[in-house]
Amino acid sequence: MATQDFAERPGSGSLEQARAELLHSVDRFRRRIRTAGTARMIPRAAAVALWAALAGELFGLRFDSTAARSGIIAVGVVIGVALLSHSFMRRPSPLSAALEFDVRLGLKERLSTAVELADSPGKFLLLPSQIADAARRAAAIEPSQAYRLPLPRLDMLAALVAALLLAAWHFMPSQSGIRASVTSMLEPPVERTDETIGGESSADGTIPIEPATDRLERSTRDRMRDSLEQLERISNPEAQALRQRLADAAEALMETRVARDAGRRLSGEDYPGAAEALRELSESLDKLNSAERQELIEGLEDAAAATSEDELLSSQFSDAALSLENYQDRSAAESIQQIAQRIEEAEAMLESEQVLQSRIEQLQRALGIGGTEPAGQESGGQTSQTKGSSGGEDSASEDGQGTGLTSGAQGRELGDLEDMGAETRLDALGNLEVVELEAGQDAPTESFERPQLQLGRKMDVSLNPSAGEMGAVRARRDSNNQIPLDAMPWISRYFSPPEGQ
Amino acid sequence: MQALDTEVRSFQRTARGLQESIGRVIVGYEEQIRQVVVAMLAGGHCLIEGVPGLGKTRLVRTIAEALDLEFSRIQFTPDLMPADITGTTIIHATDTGDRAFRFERGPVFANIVLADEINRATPKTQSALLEAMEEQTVTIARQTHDIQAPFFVIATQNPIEMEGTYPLPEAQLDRFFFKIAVGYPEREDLELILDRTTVGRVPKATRVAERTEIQSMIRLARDVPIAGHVTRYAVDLIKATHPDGADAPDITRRFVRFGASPRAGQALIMAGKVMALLDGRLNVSYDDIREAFSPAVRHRLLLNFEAEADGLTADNILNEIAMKTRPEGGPGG
Repeated sequence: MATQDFAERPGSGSLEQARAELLHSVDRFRRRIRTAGTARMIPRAAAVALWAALAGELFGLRFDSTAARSGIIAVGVVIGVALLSHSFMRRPSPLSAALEFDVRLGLKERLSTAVELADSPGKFLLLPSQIADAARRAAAIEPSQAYRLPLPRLDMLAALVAALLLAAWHFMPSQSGIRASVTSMLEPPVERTDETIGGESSADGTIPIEPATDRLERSTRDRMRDSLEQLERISNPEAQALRQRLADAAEALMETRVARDAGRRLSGEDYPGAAEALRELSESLDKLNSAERQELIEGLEDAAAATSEDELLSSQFSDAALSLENYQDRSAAESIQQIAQRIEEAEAMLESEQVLQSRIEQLQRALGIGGTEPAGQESGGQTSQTKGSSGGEDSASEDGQGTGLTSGAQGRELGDLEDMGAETRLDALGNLEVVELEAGQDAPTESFERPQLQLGRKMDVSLNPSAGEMGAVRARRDSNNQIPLDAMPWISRYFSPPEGQ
Repeated sequence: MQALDTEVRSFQRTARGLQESIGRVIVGYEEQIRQVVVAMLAGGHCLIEGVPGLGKTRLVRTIAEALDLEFSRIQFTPDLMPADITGTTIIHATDTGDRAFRFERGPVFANIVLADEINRATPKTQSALLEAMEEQTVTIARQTHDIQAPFFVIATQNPIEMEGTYPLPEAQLDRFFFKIAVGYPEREDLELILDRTTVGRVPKATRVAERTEIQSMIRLARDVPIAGHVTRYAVDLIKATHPDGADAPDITRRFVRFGASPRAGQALIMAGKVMALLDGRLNVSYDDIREAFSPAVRHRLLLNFEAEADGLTADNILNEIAMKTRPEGGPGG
């Protein structure tokens, strides 16, 4: 029988003081229990958030939805935070804290009895002594020693596994290995149709249509979308209008003999050359005869009219014309030099904008997006006026459909192959998917000798093979030799079936 | 508070002395001795059950020796009549030559009554103790006679002899605070028993307390604090013995006909209070209640035929209940 000498127990001291000491000690216990509860919850909250992040990655891939991915991750994080907050906010009652310590330290309900009955000391004659005894014992307890922080091994293991999986997912190469396998497994299924190349059966040597999957790896697509949004935000819609105004002004200048050279350079978007030509012109104004002067005045006035939407440029053209008309050559020369300077300034902006638009178009093609250019811009116009391009090649791009030849263009109507520029068949990553079929200058489409279709990933095909020699369809690097479903009609139209089919 | 502390210290000293004094005579059976002391200090009666020759009677005698209390022994036999216990009214001649009725007190009028082999008497005779045990009074011929406190009935019974015995009625059993099971002694204890009882000089218990001190101890035990959650644990245990209760475990539903009465709950709490004081605590703990559970409830549980057929005892069921009933905040039973 375990006994204790009562002489050890403090028998004096006021009840109030003992009760206050007891409650103070119990308050320490409550804080400790809350801290331990929060510490216990940290690995669990982390595990929930990390597993949710992993699930978000996989679900986002499966349903091709950034929203699903973000949503699941957000839910996981919210649950984790809620768990943590709840455990932090939950402070045990004094009674339950006392009971917890009673059990942990084998105090035989000394503390909890004292806490529960502290407010009714008259109920038992021995209660004041009991409270004093409990207060003394509670004061001697060091909560951090008696209630050590827990090590929830299972939760920690779960969090660790989730973290490792997540890290592996992010750091392993996306195009190969386990990640590529998981990606291909989780890609959303595409509805299979009965289409075959040329509408013929496989018994007739046609290529059976394999289910087309979205071949862009999802995270790459997400990054491309983000890039596209950023580029579109920084794109300057005024640039295209400025380019057009300068082109109109160029046409007016080309009507004059003395400014024709400047007009041509301007029309050819050789802005530094145009500026230089205008400066030379400004230095030779006093050598103009009256006919040339009159011609230049009219040209400048036409240019002013053509650029009326640009107040500054228009007024510079007008000032130059007026000064020439009044034989104020010096003033006219200054105005023409200002025009030259303005053209030089425009050049820098237009050049960067051109690069920007080129990149935007590439991304749009890769993502299978059409007609998303900022207002005031013509999608085809940009391409048609890039350096070295001929305007006639871009009719398909102008209708916004020309980018449909990429694998991401499923379900969209395709443009005519023969009307597309080579660059429109490259996706943003530079993967060649449909190799050029180029008709002769005057040869009608019907006269094509249909090239043989070749499928493969490792084909070394030039960017511009001629029809009749070789045509090829190359799949993206991260997928097998599959042709986009919606590409089948025109592939069968322009290609012969591959050998052995 | 100082006086109380003295009283508490005195309680523990006396209780410890009582156990030691008994232990000098009775070899082994520490648990049973503790249970008897607990029952007595809680003001309750004990039923001691064991096969013959285990020293049950000697145990009670030794307790009586250790306490300076009036002791009487009643040997229960089939022909024992109630009046033989309670006393009877007789006619006697007064000094003036008249005849008058006079109440002649029976052996129940003592502080410690040993009801030896109580199940040998008929239920009618057994029931003669009912009033005395509960009310500490005896009513004869419309006259109620008080029994001097403290009053303890310590009965013994033999569980194996069925011939010529009368099982105690439930009402009678319920009045016993504890039913204490006495089993065979351990080898070392048996050796010691043989050594002590086969020599010329038999050890005797020394007196450690007198009547008023015992009464003070009983009063003091009632003032031991018990928290609500400990009381609730006792209630949970009692409720778990009720076969038609919502919280009854399967074993209760299957094998118990009638569960423990509220009196069993009172016994649990009071026993817990005494145990707390004996252990140097001023509050009742879950362990106290758990320790008192079997002795306080085993004789109050009425098992059904299926339990008897399966060879289950009340202790089997109570152990299962104690294991499955979790106290608040505790690690389990």
